[in-house]
Amino acid sequence: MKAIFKKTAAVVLSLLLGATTVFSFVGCGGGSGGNYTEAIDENRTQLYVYNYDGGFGSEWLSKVKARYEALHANDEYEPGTGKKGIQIMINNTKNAVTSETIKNGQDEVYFTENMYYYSLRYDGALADITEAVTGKNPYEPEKTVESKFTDEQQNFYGIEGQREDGKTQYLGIPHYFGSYGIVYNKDLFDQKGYYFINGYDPEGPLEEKFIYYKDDTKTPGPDGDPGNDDDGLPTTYQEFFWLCEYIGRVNNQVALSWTGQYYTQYLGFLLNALVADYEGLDQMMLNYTFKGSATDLGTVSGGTFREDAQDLGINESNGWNLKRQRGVYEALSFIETLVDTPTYRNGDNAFNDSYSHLNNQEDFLMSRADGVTTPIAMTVDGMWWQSESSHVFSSMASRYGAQYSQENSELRWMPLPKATEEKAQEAAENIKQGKAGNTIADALYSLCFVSSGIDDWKLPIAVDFIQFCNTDESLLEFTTTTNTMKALSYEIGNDVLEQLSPYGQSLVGFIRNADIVYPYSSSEKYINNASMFRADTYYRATVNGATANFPAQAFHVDGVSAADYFAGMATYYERTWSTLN
Amino acid sequence: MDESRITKADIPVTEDGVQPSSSGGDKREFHLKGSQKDMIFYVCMIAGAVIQFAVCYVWVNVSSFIMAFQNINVATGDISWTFGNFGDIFVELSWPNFWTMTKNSVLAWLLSLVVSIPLGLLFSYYIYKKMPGSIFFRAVLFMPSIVSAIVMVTMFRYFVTSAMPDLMNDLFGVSMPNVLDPATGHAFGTVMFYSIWVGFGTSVLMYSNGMSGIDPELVDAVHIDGANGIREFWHISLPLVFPTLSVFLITGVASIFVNQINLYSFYGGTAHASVQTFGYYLYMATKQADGDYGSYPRLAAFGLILTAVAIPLTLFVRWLLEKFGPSED
Amino acid sequence: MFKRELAKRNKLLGIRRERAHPKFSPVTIAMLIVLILYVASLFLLFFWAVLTAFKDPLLDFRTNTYGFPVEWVWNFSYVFTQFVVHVSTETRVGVVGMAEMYLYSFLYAGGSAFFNTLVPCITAYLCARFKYKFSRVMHTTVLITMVIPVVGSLPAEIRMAQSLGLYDQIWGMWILKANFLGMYFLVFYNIFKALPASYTEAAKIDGAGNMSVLLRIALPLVRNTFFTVFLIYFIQYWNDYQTPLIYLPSYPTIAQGMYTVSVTPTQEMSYVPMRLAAAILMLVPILVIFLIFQKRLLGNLTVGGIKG
Repeated sequence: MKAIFKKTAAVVLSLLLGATTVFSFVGCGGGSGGNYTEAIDENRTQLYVYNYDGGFGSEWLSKVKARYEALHANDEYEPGTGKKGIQIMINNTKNAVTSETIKNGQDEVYFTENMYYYSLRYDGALADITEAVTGKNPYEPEKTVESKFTDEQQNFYGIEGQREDGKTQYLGIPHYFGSYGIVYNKDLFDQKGYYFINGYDPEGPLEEKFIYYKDDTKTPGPDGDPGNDDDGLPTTYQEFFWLCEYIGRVNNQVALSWTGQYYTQYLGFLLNALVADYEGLDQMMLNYTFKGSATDLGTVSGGTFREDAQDLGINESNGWNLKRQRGVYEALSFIETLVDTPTYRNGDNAFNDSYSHLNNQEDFLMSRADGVTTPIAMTVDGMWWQSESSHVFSSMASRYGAQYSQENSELRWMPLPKATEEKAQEAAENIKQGKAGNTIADALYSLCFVSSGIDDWKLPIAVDFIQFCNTDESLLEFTTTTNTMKALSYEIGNDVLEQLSPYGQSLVGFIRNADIVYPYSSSEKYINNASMFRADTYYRATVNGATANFPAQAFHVDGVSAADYFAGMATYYERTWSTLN
Repeated sequence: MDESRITKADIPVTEDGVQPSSSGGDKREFHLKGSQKDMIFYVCMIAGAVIQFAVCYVWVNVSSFIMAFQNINVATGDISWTFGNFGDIFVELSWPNFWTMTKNSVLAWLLSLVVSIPLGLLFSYYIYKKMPGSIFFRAVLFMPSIVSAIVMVTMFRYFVTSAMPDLMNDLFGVSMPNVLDPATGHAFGTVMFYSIWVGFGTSVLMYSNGMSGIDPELVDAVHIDGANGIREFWHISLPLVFPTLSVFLITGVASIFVNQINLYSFYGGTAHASVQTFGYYLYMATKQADGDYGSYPRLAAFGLILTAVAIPLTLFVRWLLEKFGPSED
Repeated sequence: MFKRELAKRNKLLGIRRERAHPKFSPVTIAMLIVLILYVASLFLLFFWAVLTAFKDPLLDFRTNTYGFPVEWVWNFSYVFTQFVVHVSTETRVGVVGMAEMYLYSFLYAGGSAFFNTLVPCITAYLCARFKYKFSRVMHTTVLITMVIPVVGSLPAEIRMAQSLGLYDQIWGMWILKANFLGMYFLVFYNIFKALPASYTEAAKIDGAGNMSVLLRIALPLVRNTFFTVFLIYFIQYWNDYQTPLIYLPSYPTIAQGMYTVSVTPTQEMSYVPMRLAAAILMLVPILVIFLIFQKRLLGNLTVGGIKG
């Protein structure tokens, strides 16, 4: 026995040594990415910052770090130790955090996605950062961070009467937001004339609905204002499907692509975005607040939506009725058409389990240059998709030319088409009057907070840092860096817009014209069942007696119709509503 | 519970192939010296294991048990007591889903019972009889077990849904359906095929090693009596691997409730209802509720329901095996 | 007993033992073909994986899913540099590379496997050889815990590990894994139960204590089984990424690195060829170990009746 263990030990050890020596010298050459290689500077005080390294990347935080460190280079945080200045230690990672890791980890300030604020609070993982929210911001004396919140954000994040002084307590604040939607290849649209021609005959042949010559006049587009980039883009579901038909059937190109591996989620998020866009901010928020009057509930019979005669006052016990909103039905029909019409989408890839969202991005981008892939006109993705495929941009730029770089690529965010012509006109009218013409649904649940494990003396530093991160200057820097926006209210001027990539301009321009739905509320019903009200889980239905979790899957696999699914949602939520806490 | 029966079924074959007598004459002698010294030794040695079990298993899982009866209000931090969680899960799940899961879970178990185990036994006999190439096969068959499941599934999935369709199309002009897409109706079959395919080698090796304890003299004796390969397999090999087999059969019943047939690796959290098993549902639902405390009690309750069914069923199967399983005496 | 009688009768009849020689019967050939097909399917998959690992992800694999690489690309060095886990805990902050992950994997898998084999082995010895009532309780406990699906106990488990100071310690994982539960308890139990008491009695009569009987007689008797179970657990823990992910934030293992790589939603590491290259890098050490210990591992692997 002894001999065997000896032998094992010897072999294991030698293997180990071999592996270590071989790999350690190979390992030296490699850059590790991210800022974490930064060594601890013993002469400075450290603040440890966790950053969820998802689609938004970490460049924005590196910029904040640089400015913050420079600003405080001569400050002393630990008197008597001789340390001067601060060092922001950034931890860029994809590893999710739990309340246990938050309480026990090294990181002090967190920028996260997909966290449940109240569960973290329940678990005691969060430190009180009220000072950062309602206190005077030393970097921006005229504004508090709280003043950039919406009312519902104030209600959700601010917990009343929890502090010793009886005031509202803040344990976290919103970070960024993001929604799913449609991105289009503008070069291809220009080249093939995928724009509606002004004054086309809706009853006329398909080909005659689109421009033929480059200088044909396009329709004014979603904003109703001729002479800008969105001219000729589809404004209604009907126009969108005509466009798909034109691209797919007439031109034999791929109209709309999406990931097959995650199609349930991506189409689910798109559905949610369409619902929010139809319902508008107030009606959509009822889904989370359960407080107010629902104005467009109804039922579907014979393929038409019939609105209830009266509005319904919504409260926590009858909230399930919101799944009877008209926008839900319209959006379900839209998704059903996409799923059921092969010429509108990217063929078999659309449901192929090895076709990831990254494969989809690769194809979308590479189809512009590689000469092999069928050109793809539009794709379904999140607002942040460009940073996910930055490697594809850079390798294309070096292989096919600078016009394929991220900065130069003519790719645009497309405003979602509206369900009806009335809705489209209403949106255009609103935009003309400087009001919101679109409604965006956040799907990221991004949260910023401080760990309850932080040392008492460090908490003020963390608070100060959070205030610094949320000055208008920092918010605008975030926008110009990521081409997206933080989940706070701030003005973006045209001068800022011009600094963005073509895609970023189209996206931020779109967001400026939009209301944003932050899908949370202070309702107990919401807080206690937060995971049931996520955009990807909030569209369940009872179809033929069985529970279906994902509409797109029910359309694709079970062949359910939008009308049946819509009716099934009301059934499911009516039945299960009482089981929610 | 009849302890003596279990131990008999579980008695292994020793090196010389002789089933030892459990009539314990000499054992009693051994225990005649079971003095205080023995007692002290026993207590000292076993204490560590018992404490580890009490802390790392009992203490930890008690909270899961208690949680099944709780109603957690995350907003206020209040906890109240309820039995409602046990009913809620069925409302949320609906009966058709529940039956589909039952069907799939049982089917997965039956498939392993009527396909995996017989195949394993048959081919382990091949290896045991040292038929052509058996040494080579023995080494290669174990390969899938040393590759981590996450990698194996990834490879399989890409191969089946991306390389193979391309290959079929280019070579034969055949368009191969996406067998992992539930819409094609092949998804459950494919996932089950994968399970059997990946587990084949391991089961072969387990049984063939069980057989290797068989006394060659015994085999010869049967041959002289005119036994052919099949009879030898049936009358000698099979009874002798029965202790191995019975452990598999007993734990197999439990697998009905915990086996997620790699669904999470294949589909993440979005496997279609038509392919789901209990094991998958529980795992997926727990993942989905990750960090949302209010949802935990429902899942804990569902786990408890499954446990309540699994324990008696397992004990029943054990009883059956002991009563009707082959006995050599 | 049937067997013994038969053997006795053979001896009386003067029939000599003869090895049954394998014959190429139709059944044998059919089985051989099935085995060859099975092994071919395995090799095909691995071969495809290796080929793919040598393809340029963007320019080759995307349009060439099964053929030979248009151009052989060495993805491995890049994968190696990217195969990192960011660590940020109270004890350390930094980036852990592959070499270090191998080390932690060996420590985690080796130690956990050792204790997870030793504890059931000794407990089984005690339960099988000492006929106290408690021994039966232990045996039944093992059977029952095997059928209980545990739900949502993770937070409680983490809290337990933290309050006992086992959290984020490799030796802490050894303790966490040192339970006597599971199939292999039954295996050891059966072996010890089957040993004639005379094995140990003789030593006892010679004045050996319980401890030396255990160490000098009982354990050496099951060394092969012990080794086999150890290796099975070793492979299992080598491939286990969930425990290190949750419990060892300061010590990422190679499996955790693989997991981290596979969930990366961005950039190059998410390409299939890169992932397969990473998988191959992770596989190599374990394959070497397997080949070295192949005979021992395969010679004894059985569940209900491992040879002593």
